[in-house]
Amino acid sequence: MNSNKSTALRIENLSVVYNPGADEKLAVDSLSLAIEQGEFFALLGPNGAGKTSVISSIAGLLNVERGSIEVFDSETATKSAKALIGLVPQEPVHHGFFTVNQVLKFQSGYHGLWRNQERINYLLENLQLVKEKNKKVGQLSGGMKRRLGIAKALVHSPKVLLLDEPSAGVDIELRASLWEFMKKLNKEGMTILLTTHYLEEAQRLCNRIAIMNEGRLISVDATQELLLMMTERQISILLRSGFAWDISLMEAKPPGVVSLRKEGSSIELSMSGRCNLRDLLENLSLKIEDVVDIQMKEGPLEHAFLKIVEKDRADSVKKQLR
Amino acid sequence: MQTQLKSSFVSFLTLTEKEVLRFLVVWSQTLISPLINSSLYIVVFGVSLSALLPAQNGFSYLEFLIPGLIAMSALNNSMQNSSSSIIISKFHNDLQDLKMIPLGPAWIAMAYATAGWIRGLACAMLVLFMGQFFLFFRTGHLLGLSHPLAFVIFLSLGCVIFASLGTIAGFRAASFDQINAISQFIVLPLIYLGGVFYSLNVLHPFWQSVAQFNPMVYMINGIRWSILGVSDISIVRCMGLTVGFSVFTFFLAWRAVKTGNYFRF
Ligand SMILES: Nc1ncnc2c1ncn2[C@@H]1O[C@H](COP(=O)(O)OP(=O)(O)OP(=O)(O)O)[C@@H](O)[C@H]1O
Ligand SMILES: [Mg+2]
Repeated sequence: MNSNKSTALRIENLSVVYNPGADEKLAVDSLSLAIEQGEFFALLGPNGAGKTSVISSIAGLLNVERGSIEVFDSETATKSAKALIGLVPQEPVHHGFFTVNQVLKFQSGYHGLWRNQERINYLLENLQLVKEKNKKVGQLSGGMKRRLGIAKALVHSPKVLLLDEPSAGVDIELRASLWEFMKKLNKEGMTILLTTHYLEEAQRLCNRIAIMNEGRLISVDATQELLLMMTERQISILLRSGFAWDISLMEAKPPGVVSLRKEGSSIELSMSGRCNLRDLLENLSLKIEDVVDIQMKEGPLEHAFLKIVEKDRADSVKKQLR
Repeated sequence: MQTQLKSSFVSFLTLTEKEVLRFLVVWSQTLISPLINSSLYIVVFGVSLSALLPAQNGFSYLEFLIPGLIAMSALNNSMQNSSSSIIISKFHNDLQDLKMIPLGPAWIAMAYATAGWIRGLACAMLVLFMGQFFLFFRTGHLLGLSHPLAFVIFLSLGCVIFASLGTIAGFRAASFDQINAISQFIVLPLIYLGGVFYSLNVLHPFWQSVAQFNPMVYMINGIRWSILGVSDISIVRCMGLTVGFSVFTFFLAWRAVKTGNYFRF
């Protein structure tokens, strides 16, 4: 056993089938994935890819019939696994009869915590729900209900937090503070699994990113690695003043360079794949003395995402045609 | 192990509390409306038509009717409590919370049974007071309890049985319509035909033997016997069967919680 890091979630060969029989739907197809303790992990994919099905299986909402899921070595849907997990479901729940505070008290009680007001107050504060504390849930706006859902998932201080599109419908300002709070929880050791369609959130927050399509896991990578490999980097080379560099002298684009142009006294180019700076400068017939500054920026996750999903679609069409 | 048990117990109490608060929040539908319903029966049959209706087992019709209505209100409402709560929870999508908390299905079934029992007892007490009021108003005397302990036991077991039936219906049903159908076409007829309004002795022997197959007969008779001290059927048999039914229905409720459907329809 590794003493400081252990596996928070271990999914092996998980398949989820809805309506088994005639019109059955394979929503998740033999998916395997391990998430380490302390990770902030994104599970991305187009609508219907199977993200919610995976998350529901982890939370014990769906019975795992094919494959297995372990939460810190406890099999999922057992009491010990349930105590370790907090789920923010994609669809907010309503609880028309009760107030925000009551709902959180009940949720604490469900987890065996009779007195938990301190924790509840802490969550209300951090999720900006203090003013709503005594409002009936039926009177909350959609975004407030979603934040209540997050508070509900956290009352028992779970070790693993599953966030199924937690920021949908939450306004910009609150979204920023929501992510600050999630980052803080993650720093304190909580493992977080996030699905979202706001890719820039995943890019900013998550250390690793998995992408699903049609029930299959099609890519798992460290965020930096993924951006490096799958997006075009924007590179801007500022030249020393007075140095004349003529783009028309270039016979062809150097290898790896997708676009190239001169703008004032700088060269703007985009590259795919890894970039070896020395080769690049050589290929552009530049000497290091001619260069004042170089800026490099990874492309947006969106580009990587679209590329990977499109490639997967094309591959499966090819397979079908064969 | 002990902390596990304590945690489950807290969880059970919480669910029970939530279920009780739920029916208290909508008290006009869950307590007052059944009371009005029973009061109408008292007024129409027990008071207005009382002179036309024959005495039953040596009691005036009103006296005979009151225990029957107590039983009917208790049984019906304890069932309503769990079935509507579960169905509404499915509709609100919060029933799935119960699938994610570390509380075993037996505890969950027990929490619904307990909440249904409390609602059933509350409704029974309201009908008892209302019945006493009308009886006193007409005759100047009150009904006593012949067998108070048996009254509590029969009433409680009856409530547990019906709350469990409600749990089963709630978890198995996929729509409000199905719940209504179960209650309107199966449960209510069985209650009505189970001797709320008449002594089984007035029935043709054939129908008397058919009535033996209606489980409600035993609960209703047990409750009436504990109040008036008379019964159509051997009270030992009533008690034995009622205990048997409560074990059986609780078992089915546990199965329903364990394997039932928690999702929105
Ligand atoms: N209860 C259900 N019955 C039948 N099919 C279902 C059910 N729930 C989901 N599906 C199907 O399973 C597939 C995966 O759905 P899932 O909700 O897991 O996708 P998702 O990745 O979460 O999508 P989204 O981004 O839209 O939330 C979809 O094709 C969906 O139509
Ligand atoms: Mg989803």
